[in-house]
Amino acid sequence: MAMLFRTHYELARDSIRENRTRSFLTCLGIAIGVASIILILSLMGSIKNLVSNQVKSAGSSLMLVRPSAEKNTIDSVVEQLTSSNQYLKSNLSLKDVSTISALDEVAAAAPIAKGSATLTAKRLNDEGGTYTVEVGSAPVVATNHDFAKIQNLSISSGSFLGEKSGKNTAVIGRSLSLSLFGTTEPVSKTFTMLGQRFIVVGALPEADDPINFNNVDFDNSVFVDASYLESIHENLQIQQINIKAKNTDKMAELSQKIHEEITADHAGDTNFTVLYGDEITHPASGLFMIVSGILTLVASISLIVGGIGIMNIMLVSVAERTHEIGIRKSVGATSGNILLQFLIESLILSGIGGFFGLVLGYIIAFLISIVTPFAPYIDLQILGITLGTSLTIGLVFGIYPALKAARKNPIESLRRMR
Amino acid sequence: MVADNSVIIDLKKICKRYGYGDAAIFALRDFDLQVKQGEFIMIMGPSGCGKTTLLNVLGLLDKASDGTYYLNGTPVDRISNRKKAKFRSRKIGIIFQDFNLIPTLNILDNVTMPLVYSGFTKPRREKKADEVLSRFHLQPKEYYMPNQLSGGQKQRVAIARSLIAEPEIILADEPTGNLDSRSAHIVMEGLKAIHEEGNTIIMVTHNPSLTTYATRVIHMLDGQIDTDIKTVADKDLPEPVSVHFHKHPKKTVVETNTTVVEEEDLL
Repeated sequence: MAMLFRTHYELARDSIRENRTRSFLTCLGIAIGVASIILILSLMGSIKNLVSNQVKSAGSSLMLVRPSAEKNTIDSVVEQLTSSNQYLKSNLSLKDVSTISALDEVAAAAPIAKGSATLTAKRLNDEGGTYTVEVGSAPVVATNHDFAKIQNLSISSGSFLGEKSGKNTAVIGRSLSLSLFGTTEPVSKTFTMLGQRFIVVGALPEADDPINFNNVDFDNSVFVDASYLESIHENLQIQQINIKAKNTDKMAELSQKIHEEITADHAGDTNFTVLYGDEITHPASGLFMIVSGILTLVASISLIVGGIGIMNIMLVSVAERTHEIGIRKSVGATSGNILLQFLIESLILSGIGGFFGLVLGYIIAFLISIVTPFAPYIDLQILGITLGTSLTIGLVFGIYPALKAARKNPIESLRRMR
Repeated sequence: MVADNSVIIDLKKICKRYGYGDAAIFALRDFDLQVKQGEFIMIMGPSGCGKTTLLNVLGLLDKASDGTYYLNGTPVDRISNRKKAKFRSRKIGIIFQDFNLIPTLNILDNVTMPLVYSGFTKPRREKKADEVLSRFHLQPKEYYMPNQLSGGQKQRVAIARSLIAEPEIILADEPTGNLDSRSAHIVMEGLKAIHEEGNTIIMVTHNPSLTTYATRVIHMLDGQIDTDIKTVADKDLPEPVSVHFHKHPKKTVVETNTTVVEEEDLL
């Protein structure tokens, strides 16, 4: 049987060689389909990888509390996309942060409350005078001193918000610092926000993770103390509480305990979620998963078109080789032998197309990575899915021509003109 | 069941009908035939008398509409297509008028094709092909393509292909029909040598001069046997041999100066 496979492989290879141009075009159809799927899966894998790497770098002791139960369904994602005031639903408060911090198993807890504000700063001009620079709608992140500890945040100059530093201190991102002060060394400079004067105590280095589980743009944000911001600005909405556990072995117990404590504080309201481990990346990548699923479906259409190309070429091949089929049957080939011969040929075509599609997809993903932060990400699963899909296409679209060849009557086939 | 062990083909009331009802045409009608091991049968008759249909039925390429066909005592009417293909690859060799070589394969691959489906390894296939091709003086051309050979050479390649699996029966459908007289003579001498080794040959021809090679000549008319003439007695048929492709063909007892006698006269 193995020898028969080898013989059929050799026959198929010779047939493909004889018709190089049409075989190339058939393979190209499959290659384009596979390349688009590879590209989409690679980009989505890259995004997912970015988030999970951040979670990994934060350590396995990371735990998050987010408002509203995460459903991670198409409906919830659509709701997030269409609802402009989604964060108004937040029912988390600084009191919850204190409750969590007070637990023995918790090493640190930091709130994240995001908003935006207009920042103004005075700069010196060349003549020794001053002028005002205004940055509108700058992202403001209200948090506490534990944020840097949980996040393993690096500081390029100065320090992060301290436990005992003044309440009106701030840490700003590199791009914002350049916009506001025209320098990457903003420590001890001041700016005005919400009518209050803030002093910069630290600056962040250039961030290379625009997509992260905190959903914070580190380059353009200003970080201020949450309790101080709450005192000058009502309706502070906490979108997330980052927690660092002391003992990574008891994450489940801690998660349960936090859940119970907050539920008790909220008078039985459980409209929040405690996440740890892989769960953290799921909601962040939920949207991407859905989008990637839809895009993959769209890309599959090109693969199906490629499959139809294979079927078309194989039908032509069967028609051209009818006489050969008759000869083979007359010297002892069974219908199964003929079926196998043509099926192997279509599998080779789709396999070659799949391989070149893989290479093409990877090259495009690599080119995209030059201008975006998404490094090409191809794992064994993606490889398996892609090659499996292309071979399945070869099988599905090759079976009809192969059956047609196998069912040919030997006498009628022998009568056919070559 | 066939009682005589030397009978390898036994056709009983074979009919081959095309179409139905009033439009039905019979290519073979109540056709009875017994073929013994070692016979060289020539089938003659006008065009459309059913010669090629008979050969197709005998070669298991076509199925009789009625009647029973025993091959080596086995009724083949109800066996699967798969088993019929196995019979074709191991027991029957077919030679066609227009050679039917695959133009994209070289001579070696064309000749070894029946062995591919019999499960032979490539070295064994090539060894056997070397033996059979050298017998027809074609070994130096085994890597030629069919379009590089003359008609006579192509037909010798086709004969080599039909012999490579060492079949018991060789069916030839006008093997000299497309050849000049010299090539036809060479091909017929080749078939004669094969017959002398004990193989059974059933050959369709339009050429009466070739009947001198036959041990039995059947004239067909309208799907039936018109005349059935034996040119040698059964006892004079060559003995079956198990090993083919001798370098020096065995001497046989076939008379060279055969005289045509009616079957009844021999009994």
